Amino acid sequence: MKAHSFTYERPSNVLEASRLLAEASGEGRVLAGGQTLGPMLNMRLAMPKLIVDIGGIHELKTVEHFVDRIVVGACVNHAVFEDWIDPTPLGQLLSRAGGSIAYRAIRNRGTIGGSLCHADPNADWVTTMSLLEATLLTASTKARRQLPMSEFMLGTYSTALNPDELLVAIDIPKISSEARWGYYRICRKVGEFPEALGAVIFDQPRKVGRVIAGGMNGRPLSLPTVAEFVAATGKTPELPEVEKAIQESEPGFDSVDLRHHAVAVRRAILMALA
Amino acid sequence: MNKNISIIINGKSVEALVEPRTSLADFLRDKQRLTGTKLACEHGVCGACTVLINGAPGRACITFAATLDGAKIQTIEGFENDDVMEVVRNAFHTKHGLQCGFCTAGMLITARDIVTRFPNADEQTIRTELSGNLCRCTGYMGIVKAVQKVLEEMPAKERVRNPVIPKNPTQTFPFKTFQPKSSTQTNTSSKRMTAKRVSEKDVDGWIRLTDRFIVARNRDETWRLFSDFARMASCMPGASLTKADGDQLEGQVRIAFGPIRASFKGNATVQRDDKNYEGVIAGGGNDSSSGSRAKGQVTYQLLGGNSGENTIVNLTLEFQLQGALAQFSRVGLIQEFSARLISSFAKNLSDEIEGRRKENGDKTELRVSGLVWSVLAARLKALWLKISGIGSSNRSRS
Amino acid sequence: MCVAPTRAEAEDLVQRISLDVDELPAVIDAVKARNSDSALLHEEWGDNIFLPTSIDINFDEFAKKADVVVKREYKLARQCMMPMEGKGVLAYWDERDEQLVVYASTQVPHMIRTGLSLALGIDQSSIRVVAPDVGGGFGYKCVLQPEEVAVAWLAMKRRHPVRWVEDRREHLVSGANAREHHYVVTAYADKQGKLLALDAEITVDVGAYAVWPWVCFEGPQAGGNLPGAYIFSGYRCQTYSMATNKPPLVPYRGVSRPGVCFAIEMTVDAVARAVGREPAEVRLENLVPAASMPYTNITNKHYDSGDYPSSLRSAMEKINLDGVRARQKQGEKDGRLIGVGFAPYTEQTAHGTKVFAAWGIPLVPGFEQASVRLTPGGGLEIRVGVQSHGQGMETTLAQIANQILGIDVSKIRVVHGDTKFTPYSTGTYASRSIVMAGGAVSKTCVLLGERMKRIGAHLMQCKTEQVRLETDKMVGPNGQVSVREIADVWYLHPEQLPDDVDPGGLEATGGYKPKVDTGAFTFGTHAAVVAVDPELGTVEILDYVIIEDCGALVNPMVVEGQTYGGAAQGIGTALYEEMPYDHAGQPLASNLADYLIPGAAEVPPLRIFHTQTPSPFTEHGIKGVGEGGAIAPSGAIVSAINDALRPLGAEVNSIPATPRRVLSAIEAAKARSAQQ
Repeated sequence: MKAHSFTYERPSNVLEASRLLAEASGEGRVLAGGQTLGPMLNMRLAMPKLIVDIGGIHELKTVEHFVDRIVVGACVNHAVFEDWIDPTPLGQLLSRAGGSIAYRAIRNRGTIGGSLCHADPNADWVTTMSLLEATLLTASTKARRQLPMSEFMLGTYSTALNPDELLVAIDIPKISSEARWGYYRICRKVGEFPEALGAVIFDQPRKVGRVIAGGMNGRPLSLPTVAEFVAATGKTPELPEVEKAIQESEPGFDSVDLRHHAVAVRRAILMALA
Repeated sequence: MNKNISIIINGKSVEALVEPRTSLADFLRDKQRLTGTKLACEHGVCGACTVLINGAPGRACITFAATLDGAKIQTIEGFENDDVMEVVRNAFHTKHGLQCGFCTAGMLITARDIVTRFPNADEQTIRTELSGNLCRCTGYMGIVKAVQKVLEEMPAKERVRNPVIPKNPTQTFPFKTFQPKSSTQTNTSSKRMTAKRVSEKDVDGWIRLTDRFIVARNRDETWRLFSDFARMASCMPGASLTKADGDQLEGQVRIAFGPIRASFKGNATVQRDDKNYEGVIAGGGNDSSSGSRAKGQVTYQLLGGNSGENTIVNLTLEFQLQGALAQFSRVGLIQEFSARLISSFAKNLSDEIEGRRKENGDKTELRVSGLVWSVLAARLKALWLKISGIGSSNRSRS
Repeated sequence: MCVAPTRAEAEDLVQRISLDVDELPAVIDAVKARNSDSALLHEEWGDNIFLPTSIDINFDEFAKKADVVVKREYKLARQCMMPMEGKGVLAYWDERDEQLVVYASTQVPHMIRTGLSLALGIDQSSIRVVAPDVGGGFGYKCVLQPEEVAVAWLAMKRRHPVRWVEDRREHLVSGANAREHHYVVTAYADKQGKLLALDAEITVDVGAYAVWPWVCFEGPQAGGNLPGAYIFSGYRCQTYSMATNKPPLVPYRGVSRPGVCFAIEMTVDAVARAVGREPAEVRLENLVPAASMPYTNITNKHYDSGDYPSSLRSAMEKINLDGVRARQKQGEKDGRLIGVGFAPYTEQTAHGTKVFAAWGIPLVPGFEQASVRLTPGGGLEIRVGVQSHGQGMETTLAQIANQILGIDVSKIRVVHGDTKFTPYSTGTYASRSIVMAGGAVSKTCVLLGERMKRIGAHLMQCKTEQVRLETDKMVGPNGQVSVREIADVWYLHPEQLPDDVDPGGLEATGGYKPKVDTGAFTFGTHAAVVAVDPELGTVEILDYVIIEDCGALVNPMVVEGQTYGGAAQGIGTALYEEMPYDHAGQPLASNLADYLIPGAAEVPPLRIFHTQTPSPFTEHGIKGVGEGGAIAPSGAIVSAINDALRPLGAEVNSIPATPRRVLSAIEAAKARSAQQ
């Protein structure tokens, strides 16, 4: 388990990184924290000719707070969220999600942007950013784009990023102080990828009610009918109803997987209503 | 190719020329003769290689030495004068916190991190925080007791602030019912793909997917495409034919699955039934770089549509992987990927038949339109300009 | 083999090789491999059976008296042993010594030397095997590894050092070599649940080839050990050791016993349910009673000593059985179901010549030897051929020597892991080292002690019988002399020695084998309380109690460490660890995200209690302890899971008891009750 031989570049800004990737014509790969790419390189599952290490681009490590949003640089580590002392619902949720990822040694180096770009369906940020309706800011030498999370992730390990395009920052709308959230992971072992994730938010002042089933085989699944029911009634739907809602949008799960997804969602709702 | 790095290891400045692919752990063990750092999984799970990177625990196995220019590394050999580690080490000794000793270097570094970050940790917190370091000998009993002993004995001055990790939300307001506005981010932007996941009892190693589409052409016209293998292959993402000799085909299928790339080169045989408008292309190939093999088949069947002007195409893709690329339990992910594959194959075929497809195949990159740059506040825009490096040309490559 | 200056470069070479092979049908399921229409692994055999065995002891006679008959099928997944350090070997040809030097991560350096000599066709004197610090073994490293032979051969051929270190992927993919058993067990009992007879069919998935030297003994061992701590009068058992397209089965901590313990405990539970009684009570009545000890059981196992029922009673008390039963009646606020389970077990340790010879193993252990030397300066060196790779033998063997010679433990050095310096030994496996090497150290220290006393008596001008060994000194009626002085006289001032001094000096080698070498039976009971989440099928261990008896405790902390570690591995067997294969024979867990081993959060605080019943046959009454912890957890935990599931009518009989298996069992029970 030793990586193949590759060329390594450590640019000092995003455009330079984009230019290097463009030159590699699809054979380049961005290294952010390296906590997923590192293992894949060691296992030789990934063998790009060029590694573009964006860990030296300091601007990508900033967090900016605005009145109605937080803009997080793509290279902000999970541990930064874990240690975030912010008693608002958003601060708590981000801290919970970031602190749930793998182990501290991984969280110290893994980044939110790297996780989103890897687009593993079972990753915490993929679900959380879908829940929060984040917008992903990207840049290349050719263009800058903002992609809603729902347009960014196309499927397992697949994003809308062009080969020379980088995720630069994540624009997270703030939720109100009265918002309620729930986040439930079903996990065989502490630190492992969750097999199912439920993430919900009920933000009455902003009229936002969202229920997300994560850890699916592809993109996280939004369950608007379930969200509407909870928002309108303040009640937790019964398990068969959640199962039905998931099955309608995503048929094909066997009974055990379906159950796990439904329980994750339902328990996240229970947490939010507690 | 190789990169010069300047790095501080255990307080000592080291200049070295490293191959980019060399992990920090291999660099420490093989080049610096610091063999206290152990390698046990090399994919970041077991924690045996944990060292301090710029003061914080990190995995030396999945961190490449080349990325650490200017960094400060502390390995287990570098804690000689560390008061906290002294206490931790003694506690491991007296509480039987090690047996074979292979996990111990990583355990000690993680334990030191735990006692400094969680001075009031209860047993559950200790166990949770230790979960990134696997031990196969002790059952963790001695290790947990050692950490507890350190917490009991450690002077308060060594302790830093304990971060508050919310396990649950603190709901301070009563729940008020409301009608949520509809989200701008829904599932409908593109078709969701799923496939039946393989259960533990039914792992036959084959992935089977079907698709069905209707084209606005009659059967004979549609069948012509299915008789032209080069055109057909061009519709399959990543596929290309190098030779077509009657019903014997030669070619390759390139797969890009996230960072994973594979290129299966091989042969296939076509069996056609012109009378019934059916065919099977069956074959197999090797991807030598991953040491993986694939075999599979595409089955197609054309049915006349209602009007006679339409054709229904039934498509089945079946394949089996063997070797490194197949040796994972998360079959669902591969199935979802395959479902997207067959779906774009179907779309390309239908576009090809109906004449909508460009000459060189569908290589258009996905572009997302309708996004409005100007919605961002001026300050945010400035920030973005700053972080994306635009307008700071003086910071370009040196 | 790809040889390169670094492993990375060797892997580059591997990538350039592609195999062009014609695929044959894979044999993956050991039970199906018994069918006459199965594909064949070794065509010349005509079937896939490595080894069948058959036992029938008064089966019909007692089975027909039964009021209750229960039949169950059990399955254990294939597992990896996963020492944190994998295999590793470095070999070079030493031109000066004209010797092949092999550094190996092994539990059995002398056996490797013998094996290499056979495989390479060179004399044993031309081979030195060194096993320095070994990062865990658990049985994985108690066989001659193909890589050891290959690397040694390459080093001889190329005349430069060659190294190979196993990586985790290699370990998972090619080292999944343990535990995969299948049982069909039928129990015959009376109305009270007293066992009368047992009928078992055991199929063991041995993999494609046998390992050297432990050729294919797990199946027969399972047949012999299934009765465990229980008494019954009729027994019929067929075992099938089957060849499949998997890595060879290697004896892993507990070998067959985690499997048989799981099978027998599930069976006793099923009997108890059938007769409607408290399973713990049914167990108590079926255990070998203390009054019968020593007891020779139905498969001729000679249980040397112990009180099995009182061990179980102690577990019932410590786990608070009555409290759990009361709590079950109340129900849990969170909707989970709780259950309690028990698993009494026996652990045959340090079984010797007679047992291994009967299994027909090519390398049979005999007398174990130790060399001890009082060094100039008054320290002690102990040389043993067993290997310490986490067992703390550096401490425990020193303690035994200290007990005999009085020399302070800090001055005793245990030398092991090098064939150049240690007496021949078959090595460390089968929980034998503390009994065998401990016995040898003890015997040899007595020998050395007599020689030391003779010198001491001369210096103190008294009779040898009057000399007492105390801490670092000898005491006579008229004074004392330090051990250091004894050493000084022998090495530096022989002019002060008595005329009749033993010319063998202060260095001795002695040997030891217990009087009865069928093994010292360690025993105990594990008890678990679990909470099952019926919505998810997840299991949390709420409490775990171990009552442990390994005879005289040499070092309680070391015994506990061994037991805890074994129990954690047993928790892995019960709940987490599994190497699945698809039908084409692809192993589906090539990394530690797919193959789950318990971390600190998955192992609950384990509560251990010792009892000490010395073995009548061994030196100091010591019994072995290495494997016991790993034997009982599946029995106790899954018994507890099924106890929790009882209101739902569900049973899990296949391990690991994953959420999927538990949930499927619940669904199946629901479907059954809906049909009725």
